[in-house]
Amino acid sequence: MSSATAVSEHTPVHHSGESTGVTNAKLGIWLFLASEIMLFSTLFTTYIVLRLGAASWPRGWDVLNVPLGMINTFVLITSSVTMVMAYAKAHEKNLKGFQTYMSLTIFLAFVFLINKGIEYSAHFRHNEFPSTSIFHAVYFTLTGLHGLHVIGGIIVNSTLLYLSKTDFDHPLFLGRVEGAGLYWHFVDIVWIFLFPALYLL
Amino acid sequence: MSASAVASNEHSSHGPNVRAYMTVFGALLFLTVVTVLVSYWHLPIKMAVAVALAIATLKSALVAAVFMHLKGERIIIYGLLGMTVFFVLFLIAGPSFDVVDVGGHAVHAPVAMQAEK
Repeated sequence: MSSATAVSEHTPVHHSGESTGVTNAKLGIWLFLASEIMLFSTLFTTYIVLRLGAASWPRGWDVLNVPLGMINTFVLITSSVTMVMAYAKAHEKNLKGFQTYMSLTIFLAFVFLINKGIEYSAHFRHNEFPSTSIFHAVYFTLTGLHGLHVIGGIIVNSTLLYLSKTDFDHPLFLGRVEGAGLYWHFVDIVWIFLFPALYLL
Repeated sequence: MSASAVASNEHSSHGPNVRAYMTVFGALLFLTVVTVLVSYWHLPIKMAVAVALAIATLKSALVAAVFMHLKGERIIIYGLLGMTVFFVLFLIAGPSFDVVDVGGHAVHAPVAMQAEK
């Protein structure tokens, strides 16, 4: 093997991962998710500390809309399934199937945000803002940051849906869908903890 | 191992399993209903936290193992996540012990809904 060939084999360092067994993109996404876990854990810790130290704390069902929260849980879980199905279709090289499931994922993300908007507007109508109380500060911070992550997911997934028209057969496309999927499932997991912590306890 | 071989091996080692996805989907919906139903029993707070945390952890584990393909993932990802979990537990435990003493009495006592009334 000539040195020129050896160099060309190792040129695409952005997705080599020869020493780890995973692509660099996937390792990067997991490192990003690790930092995200620390971010949300910090906020959860703040919630726990404030609640443990509080003389009184409202039960979630007295101040929040549990049925709407539960519907949003179903919506986000379903969107996780459509996301993983989009990955399965990309794996099968089924463009139509990929686009259908990715569109569904984006649609469900919008449904989640609309429901959250309905909840927020009800709070605002009752003059409940982050500055209203410690409980409301915790509630708006946690759900607001999660909502921003949902918006981020919509942007990433919409970009992939758009790119699928031209780049579906690109060798890196499947890895990108997998990375976006990992992020989206993480957003789902955060809500899986947020919903009982805020609404049901 | 070449870059394309790594990518190919990666995807083939845990290819999509639609049946597993649907099974987990059903389990997640069921566990969500259980979480909500249990909350209607209005259990004592410590018991309620334990039940809610257990169910949420189980749901997350299902999502991570099947949807995020952690089942059958590479050792480097396990190591990365193991380290993260260690620091998360440390992060939560440290400040929590600072706020509550051994007997469970609050050291600080801000009133959560103070400004509302």
